[in-house]
Amino acid sequence: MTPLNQLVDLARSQDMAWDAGQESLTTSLLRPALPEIVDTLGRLRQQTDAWIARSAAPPSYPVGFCAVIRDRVFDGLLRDPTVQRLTAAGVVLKKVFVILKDRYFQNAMQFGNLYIDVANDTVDPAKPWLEWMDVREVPYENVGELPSLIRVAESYHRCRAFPNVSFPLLAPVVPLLSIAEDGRLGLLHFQDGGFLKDLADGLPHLRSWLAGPARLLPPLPEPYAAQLQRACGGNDFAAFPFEYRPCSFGDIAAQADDYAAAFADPHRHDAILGVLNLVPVATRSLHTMDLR
Amino acid sequence: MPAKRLLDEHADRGFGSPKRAHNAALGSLAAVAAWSAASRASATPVISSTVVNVPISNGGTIDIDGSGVADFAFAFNNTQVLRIVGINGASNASTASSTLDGFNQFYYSAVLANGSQVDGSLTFLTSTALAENSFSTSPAALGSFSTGVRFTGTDSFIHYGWVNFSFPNNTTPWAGSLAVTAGWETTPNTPITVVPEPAVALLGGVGVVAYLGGRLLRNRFRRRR
Repeated sequence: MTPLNQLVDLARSQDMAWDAGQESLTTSLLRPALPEIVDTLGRLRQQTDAWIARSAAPPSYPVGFCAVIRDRVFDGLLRDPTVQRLTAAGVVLKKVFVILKDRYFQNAMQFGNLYIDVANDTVDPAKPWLEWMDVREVPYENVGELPSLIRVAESYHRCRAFPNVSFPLLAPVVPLLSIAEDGRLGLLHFQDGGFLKDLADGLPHLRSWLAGPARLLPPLPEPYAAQLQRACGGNDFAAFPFEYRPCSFGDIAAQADDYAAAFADPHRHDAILGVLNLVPVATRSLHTMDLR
Repeated sequence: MPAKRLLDEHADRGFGSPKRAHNAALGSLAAVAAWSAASRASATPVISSTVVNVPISNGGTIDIDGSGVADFAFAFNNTQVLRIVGINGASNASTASSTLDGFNQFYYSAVLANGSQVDGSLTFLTSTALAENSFSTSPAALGSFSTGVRFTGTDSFIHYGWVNFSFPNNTTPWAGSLAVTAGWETTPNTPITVVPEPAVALLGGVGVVAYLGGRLLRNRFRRRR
């Protein structure tokens, strides 16, 4: 298995799904232990809050700290004897990343067939810190469809999204540019999971989006487009690592073909990993340019 | 096909040459592959001069590349677990390699044999456990071991490296434990080999240079920004 395949597996593992094979374990073992587990979650959350407080947390804490809180509580759960007994019996405990209630990007956990969010107060601190329920009762979707991502991103991150038709090599991985609330232009990119899962299937979500919904989005406003051309048009790697070349949705689809072909050939996986490694560089570069 | 056209363009710009590899923005997967290959060809591993027998303490840090910005912190969680924690910032995101524990979860720092490679095939997490009080399965129980690291350098690119640790005992608070030495690859996105411990311990700086074929340290100050 290549490193790229491992990344795809990791991305897929963060999908949430009700599992028939977990139901009897959830009913017979997990649910009876829930009061004890909730106590443990509370203790771990308090420890996490205290740890972050010592790390000079911003006044807005816990807003925006869902991943940090989830990860630390998750680590603590793994050391809990009751949880260890349950996982040893076959109850699956894993991290998930989903779109919740069509409004939030959510870092949570799935334990058996239960959804558990120990950072429920990281958007609105007035909410209870813990929310758990049967996975089937959760209004969620796994990350994948670009129209959903755009809708939630624009609301959740208070930004406007525009199709990336400026950097064709980057576009399949980062198909959107954004203008933030403060007017700054950036790449709209949170994590590679959605791209990786789509890539493994031949990029059907991207292709479907390029063929329809993408064409309904407004283009990048002219003042921004002109600034972007001035900043990146020189195609200097040191300024921005991906080539600037205004392109059509058809060009991006052709680029998607090349990504799909590269994924099918393990000898070409390095190129895709190279792009993924450069995405944070590109994100930082554009941020630093401070185009408004 | 656009990708093919762009590949030809990049070939014209001398993309096969490591020296020129950073000049032009990348326009195709073929160009990225050529850039990655050129980067690997110019690999320059160095031994850290700032991680030399650094005592491990709660909240203590290490700066592997000597950039002046710490790459990792050590954290005693509830006094039972000692973790290496990547320090995340805009210019300095660090992760340590991890491996599965007895519950099939990524938890412990990966123990890498001397001569093994640190590259993208490893699993990297921002926080992994170096030691767990009295647990014979935790890395610290080995007494001495190396783990892989990945951090963002001052050039904003990902760099691979390794850190060697010494644990005289595996009992909290791990008195006498040290980050003995570390190595990192100055060329971005390029694998690095964990240096055999005897070379580090017995030969010291100059010996290590010899061991790695004279490539270590050569460009160290030249590359420092």
